[in-house]
Amino acid sequence: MSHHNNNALQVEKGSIDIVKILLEGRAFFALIVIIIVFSMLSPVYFSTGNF
Amino acid sequence: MSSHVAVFGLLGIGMLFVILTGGIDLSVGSTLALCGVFAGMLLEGVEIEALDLAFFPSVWVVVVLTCLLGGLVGAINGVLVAYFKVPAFVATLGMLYVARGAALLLTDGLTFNSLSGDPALGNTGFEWLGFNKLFGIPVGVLILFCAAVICMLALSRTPFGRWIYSTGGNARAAELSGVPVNRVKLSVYIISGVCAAMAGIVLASQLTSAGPTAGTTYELTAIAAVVIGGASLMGGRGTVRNTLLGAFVIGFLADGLVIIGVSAYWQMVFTGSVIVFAVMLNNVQYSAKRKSSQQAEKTAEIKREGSRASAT
Repeated sequence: MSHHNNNALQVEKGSIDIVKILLEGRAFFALIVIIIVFSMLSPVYFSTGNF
Repeated sequence: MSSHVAVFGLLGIGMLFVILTGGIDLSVGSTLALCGVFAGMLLEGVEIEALDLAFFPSVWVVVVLTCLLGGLVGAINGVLVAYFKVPAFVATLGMLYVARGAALLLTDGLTFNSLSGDPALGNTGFEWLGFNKLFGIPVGVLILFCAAVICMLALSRTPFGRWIYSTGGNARAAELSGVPVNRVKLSVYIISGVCAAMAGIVLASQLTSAGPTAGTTYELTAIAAVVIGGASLMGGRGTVRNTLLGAFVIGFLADGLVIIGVSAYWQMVFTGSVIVFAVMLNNVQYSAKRKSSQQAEKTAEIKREGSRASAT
C-alpha cells in the first residue's frame, strides 16, 4: 500500500517539474517561439545583417 | 535589431532594481530624453558668456557627465520616495513631467543634429557607441551586457543585493533586522537614473541626433520587460537574466512585426496581449509555488506523525 502511494507521489512530482520548467523558462521559450515564427515568415529576420 | 534591444534592456535593468524594492520608476523615459539632449548640448559646445569661454568636452567626459545627470535625477526621485515618503508612483510621475519639460527647455523644443563633433576640437567618436561593432556585436549591446553582468553580480553576490531583495520582501522586517532601507531605496533610484542615462546616450548615438521627445512611453516598455521576465511588482522577486530575456522578447517581437509588415496598430495589440499573458503566467507560477510548499509541509507532517506512531 505504502509502496503504491510512493509511486503516485513520484509521478505527481514529475509532472509538476515539467510544468515548473516550462513556467520558469517561459521568457526563454517565448523568445525561441518568436524567433522561429518570424524566421519562417521572413527570410531576413534571423540573419546577421538584421542582428 | 539587437541595438534596439540594448535601449530596452538598459532601461529594464534599472527598472528591475526599483521594482525589486517594491517601488516603480515612471521617469526613465523622460530621464533618457533629458540625458540624450544634455549629451547633445555638451557635444555642440558649452559657452559661458560671462567669462567669454567655450567648452568642447571630449566624448568620455560627455558620457561621464551625462551619467552623473541621470544619477542626479534618480537621486531626486530616491530622496522623495525614501525620506519624504512620497509614494513612488507619484514622485516619479512628477519627475516624468519635470524631466521632459527640462529636456524641451534645454533645446527650445528643437533637436540636436550635429553630434559627430569636430576633429580640430577633439570631440569626435560619439556615433561609435551606437553604430560600430566590436567582434561583430554592436557596441550598444556590449554596453548592455557589461551593465547586466555588473548588476547580476551586485544582486546575487553582495550584501547590497540581499538588502534590495529583503527591502522588497518586507521593508519593516528588513529595517528591524538592520538593513538601511532608506539608503537602499535611494540607491536603487540612482541606479535606475544612471541606466536611463546610458540608454539615452546609446539611443542618441544610434540616431546621431538628440531629440527632447525621444523615449516617450519607454518607461512602460521597461516595466513590461521586467514583468515578462517574471518579476513581481510587489517587490522581492526577479532576476537580471530574466529581465534581459524579457527585453529581448519585446524587442524581437516588435522588430519581427515590423519586418513582416504588420500594421503599427496591430503591433500595439500584439505587444499588449503578450504583456497581459506574461503577468497571468506570473500569478500561475506564484500560486503553484505556494501550493507545492504547502504540500511539502503536509507530507513532512504526515511523515513526522508516522515516525512518532512507529516509535510508540
